[in-house]
Amino acid sequence: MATIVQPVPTTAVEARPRVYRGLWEWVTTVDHKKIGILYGVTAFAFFLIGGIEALLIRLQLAVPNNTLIDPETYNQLFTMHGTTMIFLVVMPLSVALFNIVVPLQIGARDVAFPRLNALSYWIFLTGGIFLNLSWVTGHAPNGGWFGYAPNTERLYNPGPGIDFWAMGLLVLGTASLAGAFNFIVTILNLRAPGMTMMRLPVFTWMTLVVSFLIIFAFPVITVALLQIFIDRNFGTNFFVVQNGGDPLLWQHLFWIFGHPEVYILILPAMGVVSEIVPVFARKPLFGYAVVVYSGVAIAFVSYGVWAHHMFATGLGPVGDAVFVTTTMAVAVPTGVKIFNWIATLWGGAIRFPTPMLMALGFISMFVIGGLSGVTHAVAPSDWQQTDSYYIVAHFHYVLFGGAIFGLFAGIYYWWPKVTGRLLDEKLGKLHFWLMLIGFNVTFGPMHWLGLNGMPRRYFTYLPGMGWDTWNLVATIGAFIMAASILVFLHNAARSLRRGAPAGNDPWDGRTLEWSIPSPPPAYNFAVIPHVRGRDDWWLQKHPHLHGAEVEEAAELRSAEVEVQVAGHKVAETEAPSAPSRSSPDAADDAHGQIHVPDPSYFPFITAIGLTLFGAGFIYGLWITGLGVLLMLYGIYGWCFEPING
Amino acid sequence: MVVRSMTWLRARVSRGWLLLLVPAAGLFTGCNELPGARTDPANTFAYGGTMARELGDLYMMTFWWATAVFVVTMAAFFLALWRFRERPGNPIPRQVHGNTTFEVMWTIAPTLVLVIVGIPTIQKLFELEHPPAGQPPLEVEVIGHQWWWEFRYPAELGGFVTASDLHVPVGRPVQLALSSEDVVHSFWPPRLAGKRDVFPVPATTPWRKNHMWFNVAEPGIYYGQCAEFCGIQHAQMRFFVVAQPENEFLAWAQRQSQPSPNASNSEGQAAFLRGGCVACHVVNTSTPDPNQKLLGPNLAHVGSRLSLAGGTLENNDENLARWLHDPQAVKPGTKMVLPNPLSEEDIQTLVRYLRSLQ
Repeated sequence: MATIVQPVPTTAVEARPRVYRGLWEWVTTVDHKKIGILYGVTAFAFFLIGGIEALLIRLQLAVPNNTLIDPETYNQLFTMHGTTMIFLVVMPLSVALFNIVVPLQIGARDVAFPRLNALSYWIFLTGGIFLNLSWVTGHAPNGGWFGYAPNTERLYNPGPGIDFWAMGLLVLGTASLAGAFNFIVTILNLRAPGMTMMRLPVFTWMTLVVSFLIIFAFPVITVALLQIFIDRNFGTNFFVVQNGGDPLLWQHLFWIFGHPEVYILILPAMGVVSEIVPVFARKPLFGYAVVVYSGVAIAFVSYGVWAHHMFATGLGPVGDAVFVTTTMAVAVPTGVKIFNWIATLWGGAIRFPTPMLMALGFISMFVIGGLSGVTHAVAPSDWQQTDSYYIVAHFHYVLFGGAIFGLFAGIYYWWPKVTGRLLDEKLGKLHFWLMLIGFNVTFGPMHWLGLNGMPRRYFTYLPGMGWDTWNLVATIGAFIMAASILVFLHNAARSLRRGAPAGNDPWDGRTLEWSIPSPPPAYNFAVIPHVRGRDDWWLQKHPHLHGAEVEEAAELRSAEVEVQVAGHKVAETEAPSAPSRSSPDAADDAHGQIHVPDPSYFPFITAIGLTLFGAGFIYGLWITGLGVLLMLYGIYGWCFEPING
Repeated sequence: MVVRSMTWLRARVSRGWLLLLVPAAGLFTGCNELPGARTDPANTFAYGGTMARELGDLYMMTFWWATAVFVVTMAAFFLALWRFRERPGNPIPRQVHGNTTFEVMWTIAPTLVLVIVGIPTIQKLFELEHPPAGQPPLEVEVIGHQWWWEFRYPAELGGFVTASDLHVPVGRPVQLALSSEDVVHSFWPPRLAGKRDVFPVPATTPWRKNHMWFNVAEPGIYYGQCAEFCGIQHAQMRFFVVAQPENEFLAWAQRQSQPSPNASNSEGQAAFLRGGCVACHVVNTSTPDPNQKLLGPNLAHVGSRLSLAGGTLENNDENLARWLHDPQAVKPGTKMVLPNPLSEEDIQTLVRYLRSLQ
């Protein structure tokens, strides 16, 4: 019988928390599953805020010459909408899924650095709150999510809004970087025995690729944000032309970050789709290796396309031609993934529960968005399209039609695993259809609005331009989308209160997370599995169906597991029916010593310290000093608190 | 009123001041509307000249290829969903892992399509760098300000300065040198050309200005706008390209190079000084010292422009009075901040004076 031991601290800087309940449990958790839930809930709250910002934008644009929202507020709205959706919604929702799913898929008990994981979340929360505090102070940033200089310089933007923006993103960036390092080490080092890289689920592969993208892209934006911040506050001249600076420098730095960033936004959703389509077609992913290599190729090439955002800046025909070529090149591996998904469907036995509908929505909407992207690659015609509503249509098709649909697919797919309950299918389908229809009604017409000459970032427009009708239609679509989100919220609340129990494997899944209970126990796997092939759980369920190499069929065996804290038994639970095979950890398990990382409040304290450090540059350096003290205390405690007694 | 509709342009034209400049030689298609006057003045497919046509044709070629790819892909997608939907009693399907031939095929096929689209793209990039040879281009300097457009015409035409209306001759290329006095803007006349960004350029490195060209096939008024977010009034930074036959254009340029006949009106000038307008505006000449930086548009011939306030207002008495009364109410954030509010009498005097400067 295996025993889970919560260790007793023998030496301590502070008495190490042992078991917490309630709010304090969440503040001190280092459990990847709980951190994933925190990420998901927080990101969804920001999604609602960003959505309201969008609805206000659409209300203002519903009719020409509208006076609902003044130009300054409008500029703040579109700045915050973009910044929120990218940094506070899509990225953290992806990280929520990374957190919950990746350790389970690789047969690990947690990530490599659980407290660093918690730190990433708390920085996300405090940084996101800090950024949105700018609304409360009446100085939300108004320079666009792309913050082009010199419009963001102090001379043209005297208030503190841009400082909020730059400092907020600098703080949030540390969370992303910490998370990226964490996941890379986790995926490389904590895979269960037999889980070779080419047996990894594609979602885990995409997590790895995205983490590398973050590591190489975020330092660039960090430099740019620091430069604009010290231009504004300490008199430097990086982007001030009169003193030798160059606004084009900002654009290059921003887009060298910005283009990999959009692949950071889309690859996790592509990973989700690569999980879901095989499960609900009951076939393996077609061309697994090619799909994986395509993801890697996309990541590499994504660093070479950035100036396609700058075709109108006068780079010259040679410069433009280079970026036309690389941009077209990146479309090839992207298309290959889509064809592989369709080939996965081909010859399958396809079911259509909500996660699958969302994944299919992703594929079809992403094809549209991807193709409009290819039209942008044609630089001369991009001179008409760029900075118009055609671009707004393109990136919403890939970011909402793509990333958001894909992330909802992941939410519906893994919800039973996280919560132990099912979401209602009828409500799910209603959500899907309302969202699909609303989305297309909103963004479809924007292709035409752009080609008909409507620029973006305009707080109002003249009647008689031929823009009236489609703007009104788009506004109506936006409210249909909003209704669909309300349906989802209702579904979620209902499921949590009285959803049907999910069981281990409600979807007849293929990967390891479906081999353990829902929700998983704190330690995930009572016995670390020994992996025999790709889609190992499917192999275990259907040993006669193997196409790849498989070891001998295993017997299913249940084991009883006792959970102990400090030598006292506090619970007893049935281990999942994962077959036990010889593995180095089995001996460890037989002695009943599964180490579950101890909770800690030092990540929480450090995160608050970091955010105060940043806030003080706007509100007073004494706050920065306070932040430094808190960070030192947090990091010191973190370093010296005992590990497992 | 604020420019309520683009029909005011057409109404203006049909009421006729532009008609006076253009010989009635059958250049109009029906009624009194100029060719090109339409319900969609910014339609990038309503080609007003060679550049717009080239860009539009390139787009359409790409569009049809994209449509073909879309149709093929989505057909396979929906066919798979329909044909292979699970029916009761379905066994678990054959666990196919992949097929190298397919992978090769659907890597090569899209690459081929991209090459087919990419080659003319790159060819056009080089070809469109310069206007068609054979006719001497008109060269104009475009200077972007928050939130209005300044145009400086070449010395051989008189070296004059104007704002908001870019008069050009029909049939000859127009080459623009673009720079900004403040933040990044973008110059976009959708029916004539794609946009080109307008950067602040140090005086010491004038070769770093961006350049663009277009030509206009038919006389008419072509709408234009700023297309790079440039601050609070980015949405109201418009311009109009006014294309005229060559001789009419030259006559216009000739008039622009002289001060307006009524410029020396003493009552008007007195009000102009009293109101503090002279701090930012020049009114008695359209050829000020080129080294003098303009804070506000040159007003020497403001009465003959299509619009006021950087394309925000139709140019009439009522609107000018409104603008002079409270610029911030009309265009919040505008740099036009009156040192002191103008008296109603001064406003009326200035309206009469400025509107008389044709």
